[in-house]
Amino acid sequence: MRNLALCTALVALTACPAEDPSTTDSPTTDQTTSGPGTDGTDTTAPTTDEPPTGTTSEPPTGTTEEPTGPGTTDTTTGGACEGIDDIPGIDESGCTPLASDYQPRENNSADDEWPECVSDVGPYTLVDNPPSTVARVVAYENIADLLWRKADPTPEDFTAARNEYVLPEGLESRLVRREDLHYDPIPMAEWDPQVEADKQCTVVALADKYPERCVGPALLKPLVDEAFAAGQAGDGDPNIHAARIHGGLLWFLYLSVYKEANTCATVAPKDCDSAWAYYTGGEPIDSGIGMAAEVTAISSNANDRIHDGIMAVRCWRDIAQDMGMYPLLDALPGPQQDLFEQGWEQLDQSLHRGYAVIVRDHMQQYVDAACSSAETNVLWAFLQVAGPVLDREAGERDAANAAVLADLWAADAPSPQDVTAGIAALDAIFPCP
Amino acid sequence: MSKETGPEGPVPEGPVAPAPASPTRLTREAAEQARTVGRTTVRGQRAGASHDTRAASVVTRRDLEERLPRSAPDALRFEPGVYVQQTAHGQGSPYVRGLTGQQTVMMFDGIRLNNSTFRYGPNQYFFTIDSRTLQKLEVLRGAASTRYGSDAMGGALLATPIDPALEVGGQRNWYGHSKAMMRSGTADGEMGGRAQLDLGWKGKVGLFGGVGYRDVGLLRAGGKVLSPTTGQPVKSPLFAADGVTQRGTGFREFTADARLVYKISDKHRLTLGYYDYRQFDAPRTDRCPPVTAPQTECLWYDEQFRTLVYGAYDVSDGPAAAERVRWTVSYQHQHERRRYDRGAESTYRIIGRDEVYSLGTGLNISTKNFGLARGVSLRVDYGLDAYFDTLRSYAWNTFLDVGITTPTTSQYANGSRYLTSGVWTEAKLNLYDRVELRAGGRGSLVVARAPGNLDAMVGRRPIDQNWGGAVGGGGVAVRLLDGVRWITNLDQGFRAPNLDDLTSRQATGAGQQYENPNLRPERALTLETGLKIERPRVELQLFAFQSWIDRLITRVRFDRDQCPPEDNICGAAVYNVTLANIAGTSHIRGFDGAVRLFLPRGFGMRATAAYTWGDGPNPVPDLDPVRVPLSRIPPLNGTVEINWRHRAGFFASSALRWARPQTRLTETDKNDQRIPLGGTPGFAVLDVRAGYRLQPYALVVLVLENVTNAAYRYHGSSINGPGRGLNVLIEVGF
Repeated sequence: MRNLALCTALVALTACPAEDPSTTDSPTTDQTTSGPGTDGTDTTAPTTDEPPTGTTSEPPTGTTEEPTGPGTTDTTTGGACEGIDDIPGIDESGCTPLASDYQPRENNSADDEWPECVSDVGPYTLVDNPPSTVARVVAYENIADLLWRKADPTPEDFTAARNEYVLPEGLESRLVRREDLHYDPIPMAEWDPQVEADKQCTVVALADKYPERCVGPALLKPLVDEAFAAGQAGDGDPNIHAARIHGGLLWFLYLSVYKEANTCATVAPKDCDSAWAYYTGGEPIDSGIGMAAEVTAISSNANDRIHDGIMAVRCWRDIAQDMGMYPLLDALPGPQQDLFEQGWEQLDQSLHRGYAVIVRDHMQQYVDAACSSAETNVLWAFLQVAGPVLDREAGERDAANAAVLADLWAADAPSPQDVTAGIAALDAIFPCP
Repeated sequence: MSKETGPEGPVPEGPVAPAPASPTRLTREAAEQARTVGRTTVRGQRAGASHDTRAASVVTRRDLEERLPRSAPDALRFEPGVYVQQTAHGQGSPYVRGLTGQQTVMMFDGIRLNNSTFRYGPNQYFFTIDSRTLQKLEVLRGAASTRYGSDAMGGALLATPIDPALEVGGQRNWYGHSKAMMRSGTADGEMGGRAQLDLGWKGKVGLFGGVGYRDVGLLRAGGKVLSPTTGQPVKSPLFAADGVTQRGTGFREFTADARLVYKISDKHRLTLGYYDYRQFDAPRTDRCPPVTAPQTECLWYDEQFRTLVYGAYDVSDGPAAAERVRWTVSYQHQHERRRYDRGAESTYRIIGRDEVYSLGTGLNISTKNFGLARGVSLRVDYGLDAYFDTLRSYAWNTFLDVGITTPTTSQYANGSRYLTSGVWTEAKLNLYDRVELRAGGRGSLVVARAPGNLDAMVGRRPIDQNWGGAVGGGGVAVRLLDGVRWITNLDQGFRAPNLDDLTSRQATGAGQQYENPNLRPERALTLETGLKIERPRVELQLFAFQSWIDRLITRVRFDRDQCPPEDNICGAAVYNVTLANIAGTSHIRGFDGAVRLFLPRGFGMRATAAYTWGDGPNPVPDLDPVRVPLSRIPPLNGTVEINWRHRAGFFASSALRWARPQTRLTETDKNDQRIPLGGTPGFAVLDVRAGYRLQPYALVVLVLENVTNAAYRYHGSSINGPGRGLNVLIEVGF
């Protein structure tokens, strides 16, 4: 009843822009299609340059909110949305860092508990040469331009995008071996002794046996391959395939930041740089590409907090060095091991929130589209891939709300009311970066 | 010089089967061939190198038959100064005095095999010579560009094919001899054979040819090679669950050859040769899989073909200025098709195909031996050669789940062309049968053309390079005692950058390699001095050498900010490398030698040893250390063979191959997954051989290799050597 009342009030105040998808335009659209390209040239490409689709089912491409604007609402409601509460805008104004967090943006970390380190004055300082990860994020951007930043990508677009995807040492090469370090590691007794500890998921039998840990080969690869193949073959709605690819690759980037931050401590110090690059694409934090751009468009605060987490790990790596040598975690004294866990956890929490705001934004777009009788399948395709990624963490934090989300992802075509409830659940579980 | 041993010398090769019904007569050439290393009986065990006053050694037909090498490169494992690296089981690359691949030259019957796509470091191309078609293999150590042109910096590998017997034949003047061979090996499940025919007519026309096939399975090693620093197994190759079977090995092979000799007259001879080698499904072991990739991932050489067709016109006993002439015209086609995928589960496949068409000619002329004064004679060899390559290169992705294929960046610039050519002369002055002086020189012209794009943002630059230059060399051989000579040589070598250096983009063991269009030729100067002893009971050669290499071309890393801006492959590679001329002089020095004893009662012994030490300026200027080791320099290594043979045709031998650890690594070596962390451990491997020969009807050879089942690896290889296994050869002649 409360939802119904709120929606009715909103109808009276704003009305749903049922036939005008342009009202959903937002800075999100702009940031993904304009500005300097990776080669320094201006790649500004007005959306009007895209082939006109002539349909009204074009998926909204932006968010309905200004980044981090406190309390703004632009929710569209209408007959289909009766009973939907006002969806609050993202408001992280009440969020405060933990005392144990590394805070380089606050007085250059002088006031936090962290020792002085290379990250204090920013920007990010590389451990080694610029990482190859940068090229993978550039490939992600190229794929985005071909598939989900344009309407109705053609089979040729999918083929071109897949060529980017399968470049040697490219996105696919890493995706197929990506582990989700949130899950328990494969028992050492089952390891293939010829394979490095952090590459055990390259062993087919282990990937099959531990699909959650070996998320890359077990879940991501088939998902992305199938979507590419369907798009290339011209089967079904290309926007849906593009959305699934988007979801899969975003999932991969999200896990990769977390994973590389770990192996920076446990395997190779230069993986710190990979963690940074998987998030920002090697660009400054205020103009990151890839996942950073998508987070920034929705919540610049979340973006900053993720960057703080990356800088925390880098700070730890700087602290935990010995005359330019970087001992691995096992070789360090307990306090330094604890400090790493502290920084890595800070990064993890901020990544959860950053990823959650992207999911949330798509949920809100879904509601908007549903309320305006626009196409929702594409958004739902993305959400069905990207949404369940948070289930594990959600379950740990708030079982009741996690169940709401899990039920939502299982639906084929949820109502706007269900999705709105999901947004509320998501906000409740992941309130702050 | 080849010498016949006396009655107290070596035991004859074996019994000759009862003569055929119609007695045959050998031509002079056939008799000479038979006497030295030939097909019928072999009394003399010494086969002289064609470069008698250089550091050189020869593998004879009989060595090939009794050692049962798996390939032409494998046949060189018992030669001093040669160290054979293997990136794959279907590949082998001989290092000669520390250099290999494009820095050595390969010749087949006087025809240059090196083409413009021979890549830096070890390559597979010497493997494409079918060792079953060879009469002998000669290794010339040290720079030899005067005679062999570009690439002959480390040495020259000279393969000589089997000639038809040119026997006169019986009543109808036809002669025919056929042979069937079957070979099997347990370490890699090899099963193969060859059918061979030798026909002659009136001693004027001879045809020798055959077809062969073999199917080689996964190679079983003695075990895993451990890192000397960590004690952990080296990560490449991947082993099967049994811990000894090496994945990413095995191949199939088909060969065909025909050699028609028409003896126009006693002075003129025409030869037409056709040699076809086709290898299928040969995985590159270190990328099957790469150490960090899914275990089904593999780079396959689907097809590795080489077809050589040539004609040779020989003149002997000609006029004084051209007493001997050999003119060759050749056509060679090298075809390579690579496939990168993940086996049955693959959803896409990356394929590359390169075709190199080489047209060549060579003219070698020798004057008569002019008597300038009493005891003083002079002979001059001179000639020219030119080889022109045309290159076609393609690459594409195939998405298997949808059957869509799209073109991608090819390994080379399609449509590239390359010419290597030169004129040369070499004179030998003999003084009183005691001193032999040698001096010569070559003028060379190398031309490289490749299409490209002047916009550095988008890809390869066009290549339009000409290199001209001259090299020279000479030496002195002094006979100290009868059969004892002191030899000193100073020879230059050079290598002009080829199309692989200038235009290729490819994955290598050291990283993703990018072209360098600004390379300049590298030049070597080799000084060697040593002794050669040829006495009835002993044969010895021992050389010390030093090579100075200027502008050495080697791999160096480059940062990603130097990548072509729009090339995401470059940016994504973990390591990017390019070839660069290293400023300053690099050094390779060492010694190599062999001793052979002819003992009573049919026993014999041969031992070799070689040590090579190489260093050069640090490729990164102003970085300590100022000088660094050269890449993949072989460790101290050697062999010992003890053999016995009986007049009845039985023979037996044991052979030991050994190498010390190699821990001097350059930066690219340290990033190379083929080399264990800290270096490659040393090894000692024992083989035992036995056999029976009934000329010309039967030959049975058994080789029990790696008796102790040692786990070992030749430095720089992707594969470990075969574990304990039995190799069998059965030949039946008709």
